[in-house]
Amino acid sequence: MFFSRKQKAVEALIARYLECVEECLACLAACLECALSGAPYDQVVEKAKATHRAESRADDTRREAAILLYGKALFPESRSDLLRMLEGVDRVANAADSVARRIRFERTEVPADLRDDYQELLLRVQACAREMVKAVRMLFDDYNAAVHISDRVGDLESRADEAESRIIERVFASDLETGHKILLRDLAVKIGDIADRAEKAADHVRITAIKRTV
Amino acid sequence: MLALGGGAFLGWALGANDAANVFGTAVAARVVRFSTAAIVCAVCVVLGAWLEGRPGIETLGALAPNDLRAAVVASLSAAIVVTFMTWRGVPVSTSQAVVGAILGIGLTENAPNWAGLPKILICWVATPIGAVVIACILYTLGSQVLKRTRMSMLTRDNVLWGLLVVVGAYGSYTLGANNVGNVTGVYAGTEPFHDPGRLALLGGVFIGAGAITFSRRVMMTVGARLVRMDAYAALVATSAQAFTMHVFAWIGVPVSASQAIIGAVVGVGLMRGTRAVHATELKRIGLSWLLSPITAAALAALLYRVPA
Repeated sequence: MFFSRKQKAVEALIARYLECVEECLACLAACLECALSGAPYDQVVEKAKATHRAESRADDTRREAAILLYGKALFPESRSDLLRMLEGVDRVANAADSVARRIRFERTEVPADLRDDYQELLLRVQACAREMVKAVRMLFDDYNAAVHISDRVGDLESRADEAESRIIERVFASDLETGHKILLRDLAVKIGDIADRAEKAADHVRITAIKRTV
Repeated sequence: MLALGGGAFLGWALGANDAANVFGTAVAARVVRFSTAAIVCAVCVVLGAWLEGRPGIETLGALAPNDLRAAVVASLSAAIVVTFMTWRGVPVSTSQAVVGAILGIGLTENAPNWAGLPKILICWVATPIGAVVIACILYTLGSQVLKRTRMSMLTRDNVLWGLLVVVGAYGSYTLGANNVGNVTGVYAGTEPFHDPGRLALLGGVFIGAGAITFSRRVMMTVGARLVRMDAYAALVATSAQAFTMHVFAWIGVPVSASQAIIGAVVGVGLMRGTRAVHATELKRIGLSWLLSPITAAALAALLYRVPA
């Protein structure tokens, strides 16, 4: 059909973009695990830089996709829906990069008794972001099913919120110095922010799918 | 051939106003380009007029007086009214304008031909109502199919685009088949226009020319100002309009493509909730439907009194 070549190009580019976002999140997970395990600072810096590079690659791919979309590749409505959705996903990658930079520059020391909590928060945030990526992919496979996957992202985001709240509660119940508490709180909030943005991106996916479910 | 000037003008005006009824929803939804729509419409209108336009020509020919001067005046009066409405961006019924003009001339002569009129009037009322019903049915059926079909959102766009062009071509075909009678039916039986086949072909060409040159403004009214359309809604509305027109082409009564598409668009709007229908715009269109035959009748009566 007339549109099919352009369709394949758009889908391939968006798939590549999502892989970059997944790589960015994986690099952040490695960076945080490095920091939590007490690894040498050089290693933490290297992982943080890797996260930033992955985020930059994601940005470049997203811009390429936007140019293709603006080249009148699709229906105007589909074009604007996809651009809005890509911007939402981009905010997730930005949040991951922001956490990596915070770990690198602030060198916040996580007390041993809080490390498991941070690990748990990271796992829940990763699960949320993974589901969000799955929802986006589903738009190009079975858009009717994308709505249900988007709903799951919301549930996972709530669980990430719980983990974040638990950390903050424990931090301020501890004997740490106020400044240390604030840094730990901010770190937890920033990690939780990834899940918040993943939920917003999933909302865009839901709206995009529902609009086509007449 | 100069006498056909009235018919040519009317055909052009009908094409300009009614092409919008076929492709207006798709063009206003920005799914199909205006140039693509205009060309497909023009080609299919000529085909429809030539292959299936004769019954409509015969019906209207039976209503009209067998008088070349009357035929020219009727065509010209209807064309003026339709062109004015097109310039205002209002979808108007060419069928009603033509019938109004014919009756206006008849009333001037104190010899209006009421035979066949009841059948025509019933079909006029049935057209938008039928289109509403068909649109509701198609909307429901189509949505069930889409819900159960696994596909990418972009594949859905491709499918809808393809279907819109195909249905638009079909709608253009039925427009030609159904409405060519409005354009050249008044000439049927007059000297030298005895061949309905030739009248059908000429009428189709006139309509096609109007579609290509002047239909964009009414397209935006039909497609955007009455009910906000996406690709699926545009497809349902166009399909319902095309099918309704084809039914009446078989019956042999020229009906209004405008009324068919407005009925179809309203049907789609109702499926999405009554707030989806722009009531003010609907009233504006309804008023023009009422005024166009009356205005055409008055104008035709006036022009017929002008010495030849």
